[in-house]
Amino acid sequence: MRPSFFNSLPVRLAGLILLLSGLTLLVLTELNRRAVERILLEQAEVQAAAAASAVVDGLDTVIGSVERLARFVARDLEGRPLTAAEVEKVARNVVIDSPNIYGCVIAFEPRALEAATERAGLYVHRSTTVSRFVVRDLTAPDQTYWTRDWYREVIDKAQAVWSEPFFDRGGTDRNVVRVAVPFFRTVGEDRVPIGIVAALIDLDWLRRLANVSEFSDTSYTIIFSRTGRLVIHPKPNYVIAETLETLAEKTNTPELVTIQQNIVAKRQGALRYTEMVPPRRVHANYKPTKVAGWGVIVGYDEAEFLKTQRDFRRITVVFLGALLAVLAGVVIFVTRFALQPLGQLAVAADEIARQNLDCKVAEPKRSDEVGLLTRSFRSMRDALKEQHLERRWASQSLEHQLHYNRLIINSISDLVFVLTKSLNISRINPAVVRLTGFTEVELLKTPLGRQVRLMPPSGSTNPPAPDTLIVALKDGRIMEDIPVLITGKDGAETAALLTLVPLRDNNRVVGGVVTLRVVPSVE
Amino acid sequence: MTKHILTIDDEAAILDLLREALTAAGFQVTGVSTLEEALRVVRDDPPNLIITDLQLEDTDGFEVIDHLKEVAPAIPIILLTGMLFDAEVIRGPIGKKIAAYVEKTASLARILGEVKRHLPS
Repeated sequence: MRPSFFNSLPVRLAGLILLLSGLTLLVLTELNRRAVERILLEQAEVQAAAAASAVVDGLDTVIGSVERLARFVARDLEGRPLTAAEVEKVARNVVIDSPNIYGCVIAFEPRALEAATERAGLYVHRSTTVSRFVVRDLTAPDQTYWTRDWYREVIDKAQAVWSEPFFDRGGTDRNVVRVAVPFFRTVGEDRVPIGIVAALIDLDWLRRLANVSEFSDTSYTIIFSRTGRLVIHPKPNYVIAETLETLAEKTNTPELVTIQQNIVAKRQGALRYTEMVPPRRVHANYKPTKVAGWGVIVGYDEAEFLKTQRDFRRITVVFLGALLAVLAGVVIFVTRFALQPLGQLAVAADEIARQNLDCKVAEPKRSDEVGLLTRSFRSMRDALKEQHLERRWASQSLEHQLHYNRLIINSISDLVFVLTKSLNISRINPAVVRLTGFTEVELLKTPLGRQVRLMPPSGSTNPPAPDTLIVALKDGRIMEDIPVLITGKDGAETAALLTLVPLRDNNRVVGGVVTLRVVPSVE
Repeated sequence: MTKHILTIDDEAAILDLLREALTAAGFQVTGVSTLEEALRVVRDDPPNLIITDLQLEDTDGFEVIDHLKEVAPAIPIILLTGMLFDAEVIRGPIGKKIAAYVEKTASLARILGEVKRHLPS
């Protein structure tokens, strides 16, 4: 009988190896994954911090230089009287001289430029037209700059003001941010604001600066204003439209509010959090700017950052799985090959159990353990065969011997009784049956005295004592020619001479043999 | 070359067992139960050794041994018989004509030992 596929040793062995190898590889792979991811994320953390610092430094350089230039122009305007043409030239030069500035506004309080001019204000900005610059009169009916908050706030506060990012509708038609600086005239002992100089920065220009500092394909940069309004964001539609607060609500990430609070408090740091929409694990490193009170977040999606490593791990797992499958196949094949003789030995053992000692056991071709077992099995079979043959021979020769012994005894014409020590009949020869008429069954186990009676010896009238024969047996003596009478089944008596010979087994009397020779003269 | 052994016995079971044992030991065995068959084998395919019993179907072993010795005096004969005859009796009349006398109650190993003693490889 052969074991089922799943109960076979090769399959079990392969299963065990697969299980242990698989578990080991799984544990190693998992440990490796954790170690590699920890190292990568630590590196990413350092890189993100460095990137955030780089963005802040770049931003401070750009917007700081813009603010400084605006202040410089404002002070310059305080020192000397100008004509309208000269003011336009100043504004144009500001835009021309600084690539960071997209547009420049110079506006005056009533009669501050020239006594004859009630209002004066102009806006010079870059353009994609052939002339490259556009000059707008801010005193036009659709402009009336003195009514606008951005103007009034600077005059009223008499200090520089950074605006929130906004869409410059009717102007550059771009997303921009503006820094406005007042300039003054001394009246008596007071310094009275008589106008402003404002510089506008294109947010696309800032975006390009920020992108330079992204440290990986999956990292991104967010810049937001003092109030949290988004200045730069990977999703362009969020810019201006959203604040960190609304974004926190939209993505269910209160950590963004925490970041904004820290920026307002001029603190930098890092946070890890899980965004719910879409669900992802995010690492964010944030830092405030020195100028304008803005904040910068450099973040990255953990899954995307680890994607390459995880793809590599998946490939590794698939490869190891395939390797294990091949290994299992090899184990099954090799083990089956190695154990193949065992199946033949099992068949041979069954044959031997059925007493077929001529069963075939192939000559071992290998010298490994199975080969040695096969060789031993063959030796065992040959030895069993020899023993079996020897037993059959012994049985046959014994039968042969007994047969001839019986033949000899049965051929004796005298009556032969084989007796126990108590003189009970244990065996007779056919002569007894013929003379007495008793069958063998009738005589067996009966006392000899029933059929044989001791007679007085010649010259005496007294018969021997009844226990004469038992005593002789006990003494181991041979008695010869004792006259007796044999009683047949029909009651007829026959005279005979008895001879008793003790049966000895290793000098111990175990019974006796009585032969009766019929004496015609007695009859 | 395989040695040829002629076994003579009137009991088929004895002949079968002897054939089995001797064949396993590497001998070629021919078994017969009569003197006539034995003489034919000796004439047609002379054996290297003869194993014979004293009780045969058509005659007794004494005559068999005499006849075989007349036909092939050089072939050694092993007498394999039961305890019908005393060993001294066997040694007397035919002792010089046989190579060995083995009782049938002896083991097969003993019989094979005698065979190999008279048929060295």
